[in-house]
Amino acid sequence: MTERASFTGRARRRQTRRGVVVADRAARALITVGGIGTILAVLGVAFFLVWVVAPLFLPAKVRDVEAPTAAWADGPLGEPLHLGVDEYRILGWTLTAAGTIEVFRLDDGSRRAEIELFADGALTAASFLLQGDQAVFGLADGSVQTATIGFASSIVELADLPPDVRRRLEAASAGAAVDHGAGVAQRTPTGQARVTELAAELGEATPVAGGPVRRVRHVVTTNGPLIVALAEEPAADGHELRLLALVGEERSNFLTGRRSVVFDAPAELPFPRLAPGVPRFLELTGNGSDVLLGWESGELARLRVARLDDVFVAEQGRLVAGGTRLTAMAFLLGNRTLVWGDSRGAVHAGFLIRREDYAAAGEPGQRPAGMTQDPRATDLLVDAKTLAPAGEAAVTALAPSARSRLLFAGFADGRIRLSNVTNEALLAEVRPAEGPVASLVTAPKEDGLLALAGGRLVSAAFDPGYPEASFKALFLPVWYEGYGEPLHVWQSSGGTDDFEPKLGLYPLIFGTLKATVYSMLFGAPLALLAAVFTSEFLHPRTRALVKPAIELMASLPSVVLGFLAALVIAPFVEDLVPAVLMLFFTVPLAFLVGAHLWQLLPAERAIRLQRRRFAFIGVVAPLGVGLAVVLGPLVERRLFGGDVRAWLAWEPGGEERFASAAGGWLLLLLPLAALAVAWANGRFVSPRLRERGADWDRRRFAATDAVRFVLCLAAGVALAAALAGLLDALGFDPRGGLVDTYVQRNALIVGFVMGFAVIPIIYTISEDALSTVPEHLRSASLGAGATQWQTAVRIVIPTAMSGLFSALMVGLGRAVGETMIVLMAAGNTPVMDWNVFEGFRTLSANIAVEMPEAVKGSTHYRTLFLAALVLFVMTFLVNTVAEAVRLRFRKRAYQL
Amino acid sequence: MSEEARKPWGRRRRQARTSLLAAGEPQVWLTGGALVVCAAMVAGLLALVLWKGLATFWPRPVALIETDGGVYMGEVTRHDDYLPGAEVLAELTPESRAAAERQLAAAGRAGRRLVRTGNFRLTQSHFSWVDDFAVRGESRPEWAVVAERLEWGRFYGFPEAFVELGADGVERREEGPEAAWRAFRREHGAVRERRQRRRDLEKHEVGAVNRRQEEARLALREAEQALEDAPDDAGRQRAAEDARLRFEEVRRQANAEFARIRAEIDAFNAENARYRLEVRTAGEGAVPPQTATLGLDEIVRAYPANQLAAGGKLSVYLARWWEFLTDEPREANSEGGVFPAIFGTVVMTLLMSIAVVPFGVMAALYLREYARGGAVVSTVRIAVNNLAGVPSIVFGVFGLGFFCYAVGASIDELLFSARLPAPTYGTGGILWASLTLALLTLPVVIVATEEAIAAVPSSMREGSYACGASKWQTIRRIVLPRALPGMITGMILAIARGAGEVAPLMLVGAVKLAPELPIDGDFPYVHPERSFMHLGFHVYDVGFQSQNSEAAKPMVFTTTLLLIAIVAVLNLAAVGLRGKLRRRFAGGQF
Repeated sequence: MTERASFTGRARRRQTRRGVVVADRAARALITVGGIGTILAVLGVAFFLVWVVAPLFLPAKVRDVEAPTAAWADGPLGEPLHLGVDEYRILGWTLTAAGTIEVFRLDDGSRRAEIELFADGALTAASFLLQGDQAVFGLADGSVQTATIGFASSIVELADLPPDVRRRLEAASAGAAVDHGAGVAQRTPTGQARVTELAAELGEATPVAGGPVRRVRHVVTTNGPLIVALAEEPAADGHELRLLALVGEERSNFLTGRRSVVFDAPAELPFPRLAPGVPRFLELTGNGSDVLLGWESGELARLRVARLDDVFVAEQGRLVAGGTRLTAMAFLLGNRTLVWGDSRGAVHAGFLIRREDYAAAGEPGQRPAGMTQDPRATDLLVDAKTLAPAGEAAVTALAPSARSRLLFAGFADGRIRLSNVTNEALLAEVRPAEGPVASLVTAPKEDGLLALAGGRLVSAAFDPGYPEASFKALFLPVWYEGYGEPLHVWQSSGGTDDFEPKLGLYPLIFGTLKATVYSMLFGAPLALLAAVFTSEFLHPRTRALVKPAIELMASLPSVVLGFLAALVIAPFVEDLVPAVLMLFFTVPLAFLVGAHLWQLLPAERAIRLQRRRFAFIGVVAPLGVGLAVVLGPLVERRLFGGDVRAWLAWEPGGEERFASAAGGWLLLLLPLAALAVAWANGRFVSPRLRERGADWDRRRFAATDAVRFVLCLAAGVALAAALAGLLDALGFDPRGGLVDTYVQRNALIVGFVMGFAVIPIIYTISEDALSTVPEHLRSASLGAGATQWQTAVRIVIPTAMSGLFSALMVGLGRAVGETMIVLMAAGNTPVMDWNVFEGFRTLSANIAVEMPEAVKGSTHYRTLFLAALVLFVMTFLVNTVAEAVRLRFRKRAYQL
Repeated sequence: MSEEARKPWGRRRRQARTSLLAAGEPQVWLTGGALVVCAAMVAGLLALVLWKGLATFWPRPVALIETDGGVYMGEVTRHDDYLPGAEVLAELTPESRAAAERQLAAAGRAGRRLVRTGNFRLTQSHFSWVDDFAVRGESRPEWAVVAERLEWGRFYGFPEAFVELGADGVERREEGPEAAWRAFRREHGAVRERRQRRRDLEKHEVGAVNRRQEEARLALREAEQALEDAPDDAGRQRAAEDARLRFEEVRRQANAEFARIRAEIDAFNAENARYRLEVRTAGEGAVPPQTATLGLDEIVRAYPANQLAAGGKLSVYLARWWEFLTDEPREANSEGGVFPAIFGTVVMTLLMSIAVVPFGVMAALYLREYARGGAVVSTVRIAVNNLAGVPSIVFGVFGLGFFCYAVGASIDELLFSARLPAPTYGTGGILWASLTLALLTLPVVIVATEEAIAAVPSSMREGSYACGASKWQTIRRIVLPRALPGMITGMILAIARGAGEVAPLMLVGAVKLAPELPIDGDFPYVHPERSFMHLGFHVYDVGFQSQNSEAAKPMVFTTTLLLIAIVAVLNLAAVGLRGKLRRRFAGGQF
């Protein structure tokens, strides 16, 4: 076959040029990789949030449970007075009942030092703090003695160490401990050595009684130290017990700068003898205001010692149920929450709350059974939490953490339970030994524990994870210490290091919802109605001006709105509360009056002026505003005793002129009454009027209609007034519910200004939805004789309904996540009420406020990520619904 | 014709007439009213910002107000009314009380005005409230001069004397307001110029020397770190020793440089310190009039407010605008300019656009042109669409956790370990802020671009394929040009959103004061790790966290105006471009 000559005479390329193929392949590869990568990166936001949040819900881990043999002890170790661990979990120490301190290594149990503080038999009681090295000892000779006992670390150069220690250190890896002196030495990453030793120094002894001191406890309050001792006093018939308080005062020497404590003479406190024998437990609250005495038989007495010249027994009775013994008792960090365990293995936690809070909470009934209180007592001990249910083995030891609300509880069968007291969460349970747990201590960094169980030392490493966060702590009411009842509270940080973090997200979610509800309540009707007017009634030329202007508002930076809300609108509204409230009534009223006047125009003129109707509506609006300004003070005087804000802040027992709730009810019920009247009007009056007026000419009909409007108005006001009077007479008061004390930055302001952010979005989307309703539907309706209004209501709006709904949802999504406006104008207090005149704190504002200060990786940090995730999920859900509806709508619109 | 014959006809006609109720006039008016309210809100807001923002810098007359409680001189900033308490009224003089009671009886409230009295160091306040009923007289003294100072806000007073310390140590005084003012005008320009040169020295030269020293220190630190890893390596020991020597050398040089610059600065200071203006105050309240000495170089601008004609006022007005746009802020951001914030906003927006445009287009092209349609693609599409509605603060949280703390910290460990623990990239910076905002705007851009691409008729693609074009050729020559108007509009709108967004920036690098710009003349010229100032954040910070919020408020309004102007220009550009490009391609449809 011969080659066919080209028609043009030029050889035609039958193959795509290589350059084109390469470019095509390269473009495909690049776009595919880049496109998928970009999409993954964007979607990765959610995964990253989950990844950061997830550890919050992981359980605590206990590992490396080991029992170093205490080679230095001859036989099983007895019950020591105290156990201690150093910061790096290398050394431990124990104070034996004989008055000797043994320092030993945790890894192999070898003894590093032995310090004999007291002669055998001289030491009878000891008191240690959770934080700090101060200790107080009670002695057999009737005196108490202060001491400082704790681990001290110092960094020294390797060259300064003895040669053998240095050699072993150099051979060891960084961090490994080498015996040195009375402690250990470790090589630091910078090539030096850290030497850790126990330092024990006894202070002065103060005689308090004639016989041995049986129990002693001390706290350091802001005023100085307080020591309470229970001592035996020799008496004619054997001995009697005396309770003594020593108040110390810190003095510093100006010359040496040394601080010393000077104690006043011991003050005798009344000793309530609830049970025979020496009380097993003596505890002090953190501010030194209460002394608690617990007997093993189960009795507890609380002495109020806030004023030493007026000490009384505030509460007494049985702390545990009858038939059980009180076997362990301790205060948590901050000495506010008391934990106790009984012989049946139940561990409970409780704290003092104010009596009126307890009464206000409706007495939740969480009092320990069998406790009675003195009439003078202002506080009550409540049994707020159960950390371990009653089992079979008795609680033998309780070890609170020195940094948080973690608690280790040891049982007679060798179990050790780790729980977080705030949210009652059980984090871990181990059983390192068979015998009873005699003593327990948490490592200072909360990364390990040391126990004496079954006569052997047991050490374990643990990672508590994020114990403050749990589903309960984050989303359910929690009974925080000092509160009258379980509540949702968000307070992530406090001034002191014994602060109990309160991580209830609910107040923030509530604030977010409140902001959303009020802004949608204001913005959504306005935007939807405006969209209907724009699409159905507005002259196209005006529409071309108005629509972009409102759309432009969508890109207005929200920081601008927030600034205007907080610094311009909030102070302005605060001055003019009554007039602003009246605006919500007078402006719609002005439009309605305008419409009825318009109806009075002759038909011909009305049709001719139709094009300018929007201008007339615009003219009427300022009249409504003016009416509000005039009516405002009048209403304030007549309904609110002359001052709306004072009326709002009124509480029972306040000034008489603000007592009546009728005014508030009237304003609140007016919209409802208006709706009711409008409904009744449409249902009963309009059909009759239409029938009767079929023969009337336009003017007569319009006049009748105007009269009807006035009558309806009067009926509405009368209805609202009657209901308001009724409700007031029945004793209902809106204050405390939807309205209450006025705060400058409040939901009303946020609702209004957030309207600026929400309106353009809802307006644009719904206007688009309305205008895409096919024109033939409109024409058909109008052609069938329907008016423009009937067409709009019965044809256009139903057709565009899903578009309108989608617009609402997108607006909702924007309101939920808006940050700057609420940050600046909502006051940011996490309170939970629906009061329009009160501020709130939203999830987004909370993140903006607290995120910059959150420590990376902390519980707080991750909780804020959780807040972001909640926000993400909320908006994502709302948007998905909107999108699904929109797609459906689109399909339906194509079908028409 | 009989009655019977006409009746049914007539009845039917009557029934055919539409009832007035059907027109739904009141309901229509309510919908129209909603639109009026919306439009009025927009217009009112813009008018408020425009008016307040434009009026801020206009010089106002200085009023001397005599009251019972003393004399107040300053600019009246606003009027207000309030309800004076009984104890306030009890303390008044009889005639004021009578006036107050008259006013209360007439209006129910008492008027008062806020006077900016300045002179903070003498009176410990910038503003004073003056009750209308206490006013005895008000005048506008001819020689009342407003001095804007570098520190302590404005000063109001009468120039008394101009003092010039001669080189020989002899004081030359020019007494009297007129002479003093003349002398002030004569010398002020030169003093300001010297001050400017001094500041340049401080900023650029001292900064450069500091940087050299810091670099040498870091080099030393790096060498030492390397040595620590292998203490016995002779090469590393030598390198560390070299670095130490170099550092010592640089430090010696730097100290010499510092001494030289210090001397120059001292010379300028000494020269400027020779000129002083003595100003007598009018007194404020109970504080008697006193004479204060203002150094000439602490005065930014001074003018006799009551003598200014329209032209003079205009020149003060424009000078203030110029300062606002080109200068750095001072007085805790409540005075001076916002140049660093403008610069930061622009650079951040540019970086964001560079990041967002190519990736957004790629993702959209992939979704529309390359991905095979199906459930996965439409799910992804819905997800991306929804991400456009996710709150910006969530992206801020992500940016902080991912960019700053994860990526940034890794970069620091790899490249800037010598500077640790001070973070370089491990904290907020303009790069991370731009990327965060890019991520925030990406869904918007993807959605807009996708829609623009989808709007290109498939007939055109098919035509192109039929002519033998490859897929990429079709996309490049046919699809992209036609989709361009929509794409560009979407992008500009996204960028406008990014430019006005503040919430995420608070977490990833916007700060209240950052004198070092992210792009400057120092090597390597672009510093993506630096934190920056942003107009939106500036509004938040000055308006909300400022100490002297009354004085800062005007500043916030001007900044707001600027921010709105930038966003509005971007929006209008989008609208204009859309129209232009649409017209260009309008005829191409077939």
